[in-house]
Amino acid sequence: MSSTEQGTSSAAPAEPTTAPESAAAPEVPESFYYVHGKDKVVHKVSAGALQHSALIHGMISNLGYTEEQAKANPFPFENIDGDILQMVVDWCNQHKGKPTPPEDTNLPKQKEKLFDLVLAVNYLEIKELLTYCCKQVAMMVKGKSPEEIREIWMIPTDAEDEAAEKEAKKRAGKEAAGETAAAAGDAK
Amino acid sequence: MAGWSDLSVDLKKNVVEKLDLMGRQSLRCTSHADRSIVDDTDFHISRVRLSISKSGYLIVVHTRIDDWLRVEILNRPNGGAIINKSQNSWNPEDVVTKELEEGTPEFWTILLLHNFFDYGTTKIDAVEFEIEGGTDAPKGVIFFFAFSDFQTLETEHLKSRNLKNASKHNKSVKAQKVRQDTKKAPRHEKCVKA
Repeated sequence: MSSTEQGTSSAAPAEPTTAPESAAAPEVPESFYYVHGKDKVVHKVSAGALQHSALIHGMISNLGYTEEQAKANPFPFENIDGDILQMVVDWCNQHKGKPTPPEDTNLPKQKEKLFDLVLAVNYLEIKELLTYCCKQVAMMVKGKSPEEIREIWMIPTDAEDEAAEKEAKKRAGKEAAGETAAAAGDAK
Repeated sequence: MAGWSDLSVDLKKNVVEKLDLMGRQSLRCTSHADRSIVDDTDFHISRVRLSISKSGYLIVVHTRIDDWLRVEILNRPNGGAIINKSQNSWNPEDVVTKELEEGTPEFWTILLLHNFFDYGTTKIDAVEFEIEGGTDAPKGVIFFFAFSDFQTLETEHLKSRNLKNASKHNKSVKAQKVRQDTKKAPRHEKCVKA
């Protein structure tokens, strides 16, 4: 993790401690941006690596941030777990300016992380990584029976689905009744 | 911790696109919601081969060069059918065999064909029929290819010495070779018409 820096930040974003370690310094200095996830850990990512994410790339081009502004205002991704964002940042750094290989063996194999990664990657609009992740998810159930798939992917049965739907309806009905009662009380 | 249920329909479709034929079939059986997602997701099959002989039926589905499924539906001596399934392997040890006491091989063949291909989202490049001499193509199979929803570019008869016999049954079903205009973008069309 050479080009990714971490630091804790609460209200104010963490200050990056070192300059980027680029062995072969390009003629034009590379600009860096900062992102943080749910855990508020700030990751420093080069603009080249962020090209993979259509969302962040769009934000950068629309906001027109300078490096100082970017440092002061890291992009917040509160819906993405810190470790998942770290994985995404690592992947973007690894594949910076490189053609993406047909297979990626570095993706997590654990289903919990993989589904979180799929959601994060979809949110960040990283097309190539999304393709890899979806392929990995599909590989999880290769040659498995319906029962095994249901277990691996934690798919609820139709009966469970119906029960959950009924419960949700009941809850919504109760909430609506409570609201109308409160509104009537206010009117009185 | 997210799971399959947290994925949007588009994401689920993205995953389903990467499943093979049996993976899709298994996922279809997990829940109604997933069944409709699988049925709504495009599936491309390079070639389907249906061989009909006195001993039974053989369905070979090629999705890619290295990805194929072979299902043999044979007559069972005391009625019923024996189904042999193998996937991407010619090793006899990898063949899964199931004996079914009920139904005829024709019934199970049509049921399998229906489950595998009878969706508007299934696009088959070529369907090949191989009918052993002296064997008539059963009406049920002909009707399946006439009225099912899959789309195909090409339908061919292979080595069918009794093509005339098959065509007698097949009067309403014209197996045509549809050659795509090279200038036009390839378009999957149903070429077996009533």
